[in-house]
Amino acid sequence: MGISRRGFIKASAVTGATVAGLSANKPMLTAFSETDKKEQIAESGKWLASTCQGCTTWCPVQVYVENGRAIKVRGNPNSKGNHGKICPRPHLAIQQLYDPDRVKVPMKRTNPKKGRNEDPKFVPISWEEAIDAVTDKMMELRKSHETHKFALFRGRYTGAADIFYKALPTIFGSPNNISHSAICAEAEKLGPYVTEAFWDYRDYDLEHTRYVIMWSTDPVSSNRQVPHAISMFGKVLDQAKVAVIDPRLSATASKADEWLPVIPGQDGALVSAIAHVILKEGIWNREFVGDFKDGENLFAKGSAVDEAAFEENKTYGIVKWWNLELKDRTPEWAAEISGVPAEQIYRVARDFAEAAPRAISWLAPGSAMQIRGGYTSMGAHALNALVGSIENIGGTNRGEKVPLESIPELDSYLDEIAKKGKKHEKIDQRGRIQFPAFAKGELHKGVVTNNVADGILNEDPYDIKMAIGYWNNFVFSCTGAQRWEKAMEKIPFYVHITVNPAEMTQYADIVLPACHQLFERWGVIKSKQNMNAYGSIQQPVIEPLWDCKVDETEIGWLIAESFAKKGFSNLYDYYRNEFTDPETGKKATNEKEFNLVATKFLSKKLWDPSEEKKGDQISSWQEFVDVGVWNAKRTPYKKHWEEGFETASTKFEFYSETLKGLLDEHAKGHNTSIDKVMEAMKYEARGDLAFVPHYEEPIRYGDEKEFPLIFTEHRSRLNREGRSANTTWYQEFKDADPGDEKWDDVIKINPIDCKKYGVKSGDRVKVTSVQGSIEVTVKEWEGTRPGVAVKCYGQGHWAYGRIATMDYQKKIARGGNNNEILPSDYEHLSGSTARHGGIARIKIEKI
Amino acid sequence: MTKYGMVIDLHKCVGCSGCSIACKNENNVDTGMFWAHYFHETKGSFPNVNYKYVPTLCNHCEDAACVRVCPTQAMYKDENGLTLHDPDKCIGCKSCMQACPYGVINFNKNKPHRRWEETAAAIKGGTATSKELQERTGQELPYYNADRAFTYEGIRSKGIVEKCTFCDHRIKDNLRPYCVESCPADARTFGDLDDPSSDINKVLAQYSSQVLKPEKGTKPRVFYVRG
Amino acid sequence: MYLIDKEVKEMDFHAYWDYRVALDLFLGGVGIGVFLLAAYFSLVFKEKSFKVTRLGFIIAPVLVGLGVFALLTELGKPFRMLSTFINVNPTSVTSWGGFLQTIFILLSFVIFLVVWKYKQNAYQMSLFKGLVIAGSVFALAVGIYHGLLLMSLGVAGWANGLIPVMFLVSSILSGSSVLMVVEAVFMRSIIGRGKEVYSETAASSDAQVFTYSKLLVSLVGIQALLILTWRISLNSAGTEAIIAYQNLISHFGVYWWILVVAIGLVIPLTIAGYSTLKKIKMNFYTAMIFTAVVLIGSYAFKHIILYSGQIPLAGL
Repeated sequence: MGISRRGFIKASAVTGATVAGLSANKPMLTAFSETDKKEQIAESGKWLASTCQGCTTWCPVQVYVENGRAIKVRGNPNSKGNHGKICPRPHLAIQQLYDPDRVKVPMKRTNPKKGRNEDPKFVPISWEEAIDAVTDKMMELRKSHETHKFALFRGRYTGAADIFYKALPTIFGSPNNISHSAICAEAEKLGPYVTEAFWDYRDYDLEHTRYVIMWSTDPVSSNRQVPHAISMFGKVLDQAKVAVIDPRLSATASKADEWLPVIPGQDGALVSAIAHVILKEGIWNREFVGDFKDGENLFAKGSAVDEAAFEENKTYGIVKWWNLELKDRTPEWAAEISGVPAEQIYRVARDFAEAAPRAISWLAPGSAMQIRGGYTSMGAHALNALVGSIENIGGTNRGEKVPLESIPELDSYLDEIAKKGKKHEKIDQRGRIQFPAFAKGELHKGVVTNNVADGILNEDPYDIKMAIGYWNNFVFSCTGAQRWEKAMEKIPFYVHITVNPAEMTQYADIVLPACHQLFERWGVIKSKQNMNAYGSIQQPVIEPLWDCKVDETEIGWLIAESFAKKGFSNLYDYYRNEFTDPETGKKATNEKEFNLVATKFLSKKLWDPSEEKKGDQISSWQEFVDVGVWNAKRTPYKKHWEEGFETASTKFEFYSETLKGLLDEHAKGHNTSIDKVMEAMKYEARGDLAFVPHYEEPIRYGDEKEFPLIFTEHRSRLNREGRSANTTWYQEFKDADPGDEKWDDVIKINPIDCKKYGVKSGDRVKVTSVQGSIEVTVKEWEGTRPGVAVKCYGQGHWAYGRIATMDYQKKIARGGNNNEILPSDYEHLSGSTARHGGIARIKIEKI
Repeated sequence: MTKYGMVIDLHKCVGCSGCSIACKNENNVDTGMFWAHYFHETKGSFPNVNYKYVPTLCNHCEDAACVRVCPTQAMYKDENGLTLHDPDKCIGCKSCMQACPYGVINFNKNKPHRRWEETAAAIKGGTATSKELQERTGQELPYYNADRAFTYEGIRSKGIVEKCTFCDHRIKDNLRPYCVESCPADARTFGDLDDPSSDINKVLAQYSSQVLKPEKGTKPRVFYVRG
Repeated sequence: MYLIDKEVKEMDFHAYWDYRVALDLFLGGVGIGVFLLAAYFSLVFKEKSFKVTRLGFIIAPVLVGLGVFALLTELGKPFRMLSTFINVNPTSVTSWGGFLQTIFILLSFVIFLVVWKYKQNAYQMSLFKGLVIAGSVFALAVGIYHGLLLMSLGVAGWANGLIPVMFLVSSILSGSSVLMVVEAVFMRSIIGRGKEVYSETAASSDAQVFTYSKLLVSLVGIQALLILTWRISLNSAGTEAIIAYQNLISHFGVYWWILVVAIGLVIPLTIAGYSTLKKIKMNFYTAMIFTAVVLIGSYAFKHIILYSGQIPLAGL
């Protein structure tokens, strides 16, 4: 056929013959005319570079654009990180972009009452009116010297985050820039920090590894480095052994060599037992750890060892660790607690150590984001040190620096009001005795996101009078969600910058439509995977569909402009003066220009011809836009073996002097002892035990008799951080998550328990914990341990759109939000929200 | 002679469903229909559980049952061994769907993508509507892929069937079928079975392979290795 | 509510060939059954059967025509039905369907016109005989085609050699019963006389005597035997066949046993068997009841076989 069907129909009148299907000729695949051939080559449109933020791998991608429409997405072949691969999520982004439920214009609330069952009665307004309303309220706070009662909530962000998230509150005069990090994965970063002073996600040398222990890591489904993990996994299984520690049979576990179906919250027991075996059987890596001075292994079950007998090489505190914790932690002991057979623990420990140094202990939020998960985080990471895989071939690695600029210094733009306002205690109460909340090595620097709700509700340290939130949805995404519903009712004026009308939007007074991160904005992101760090561009591959603006730059600018008109020009001055286009030397004159100028400013070192680059040699902005990604040099091995680690002892610390120092400082700041701090943080350890990885008993809410099942949750391979449930493709392919069902949100329970409670697959049940109830469908599934109930996170939306909900107008949820049954509690060292570890016990009742 | 086939490496495949989603994107397939799909089985009892995920698609059988039973020869084999569908000849009798042992043929009971004609908004005046998106993009389906229309109806009509065509609109330009292209695990290999040096033959030579339901006698051309 | 949920809320299984196809199989079957018995009467009893066969020859094509119409409404593109005369596929039984049914309808209608024009004289015409024989061939072909179509698709629940036979016998049974009722209703006045005529003829010569009861009890008996044989054959026809049957029972079990077996086989067997054994004629009301239960049983049989064959088997 030379022309398309549609073309044919349009070009000629529809004849009866065609209608009756009377054409008897077979269509010929190759019957093209010469001119037609040129017009009909597949993929003759353009592939434009951008970055996907469906999870925090942040993969460089390309978008296929034809006639101003974005049609499909693929990986950016220029990226060494994901080397042209993507996981399923970026495909869903197309449906997000063209989601009919997107907010298309700014809106204002006309129903003064706020509540889950209140209809905000939004009406469309202009950007001018919207920004005016926002700045009016903010100027009021300036006048009354209550600038600290303004909060900025950050959800998903880009490299330009600080332009909005830091500059706005700081210059305005509020200490309350609240990020979402604590509901994300901060406890995972805790382990590497207190041991090797590396507060970040790690990269893994999968290509060369021979053994991987995955601590609730499911990298073929979700965070992190998903496309690379998927791409590598076949090879990894060929060359290496994979052991997955996870309460449920995840996709990774189903393909792994070993599945250790740990009872939720008991991961710490496995850590200690594995370390015990490695030391007791003398199979640790001598090169990294060192050895007994006379070569005889004195690590014997039950006996303490003299520290002087061991000479450590790159590590510090191995004997302390043994003496304080490991000496009695046998696999037999761990088997009883964790539900994993002792012989499996022995086997995993031995195989892991045998593969050294090409052995990875891959820590993920599942094992760390638990109330007492800080030490699991530390210990799971420390296992890497035992086998010498820190910064080593086939092991756990860091990443080269991607030189994105920081925003210019703010101090000279702070007036008296701002300086005073900043000094107030933050609304998340970080720094209080139970929240040392250290991040990147600094005490009280880590956000305690979820606690903001309590701060607001209790007006402690003070009430919040106004907040702006962007790309966040705490009412849905925080445990103890009901508290956020109440807290949002309390905030008198809330502005939500969002793509869809989410749960949190329902409490907003002003709604500002955001441009979609992948398709409609300039931005720059940095990340790493496959032993390659990179800086990746985001660009508007199409004209924004609606009257939306870019959150961090355009809206920041509009607010600043509006402030200036009302007599407060500091922010506007900052934006105008400090950001210059490195190519043209010009400054921005409007918000659109500002988005571009800021992006060029921040990414300058990646493409500016005058900059020396330790990686790809890109020599112009346009080249960076075309290529889409700047690759750093491949991550080198053993960098800190020579240089020393930035810990207190310059070694890899099994006994963390680093942690001790921080806790000491924190305790002194509260005129108390570290032990008292440990108590306030709900940890069992006292004394020196607090500085080594050790087993802590999990805390569970709910009494076993009334709530017989332990609830545990996991992520979906199709979740775009909780934003994709409103796409048909998410719903249609939901059963790609092992055990789940299409168009439904099921709680997966072992058939033995189903029989016990008289339910079967397809039954509707009410799931109740001490926190609340949800109503979902049951699924009988063998991939769940008896006594445990597993449910995926991401559904249970009562807002967001008409596919994510069962009924948007009536606020009837599709499925149930796990956060309505998970109570709010923390891993207090990092301030992370504890959503794992079987924190909630539940009961199920057939409806 | 060209004889196209595909081999899927179940060891590399992690069951992400990326191929199935990408296929819908590439071929403008409506909600509820699948040109590329999968089945999965959970066997055993805790903790000895086995979860298997097998991607499926039209097997472009040598002795295709759908071609055998189609009254109007709307289902036909082309010179490259593809099992293709003529949307103009199809009378929508669905004999092909009954005969296909693999359930890979879909029927358009209604006009596809009707939901894009929806005129109601979640928030009146505040959120968009499907209709607005149609108007804004000038397309029935906002992310409509025009490439599909080069060799088949870009969006099919009510009353006819549709199924995978091995992306004949792409392979004519030496591009691989989109599922093959999109797979992050490189689990799919496509090529000419009659070409001894093709990649597909290399894989088939390396591993023992299986097809789905060989007892049906359809001689499928989609092979599975390392299952 | 959003369009999506309506489309996607799936039933237990989706039968693409639904009641409209069942109606085609049923009405078409009754139609050819009526024709076949009418053809027999017209060849054997010739002009004596004028009144009843004249009705038979018009009822048959109307019923088959209605069946084809029901089928047309089921097609995705009904108007393209005409194309099946040009775009032909010899390996597709579906392809033959249009031809066979169209030719049958035309033949039967022409026969009706001949009878309507020439009345009793028609029955002696060799053209008439030729047409009737041709019509019978096509009637049989259509009757076999119904079950053959299902069998040819390779579907587990339909891939059994007895399916075409059971459908044919069911069709002849229902058609014959309908013709019996037609005769009873329209020729009430001549029933007695007609039958007496037959009996008189019998008494005076060696000519055949026709009793509906004998024919019908034979047909029901044969059908019951076929169904029993079919059920037994499933045990050794492979796992898929057994699973398909189990699906039939789990979805339609009650209807199968009550409508198809009890009402559709046991009751008519009893009625006709009693009449045959006692050598008495069925009276009008008995004949009506007999036909009613046979028709219920025949429709239920075809409907259940059609639907249950489309229940997806586990696995793929």
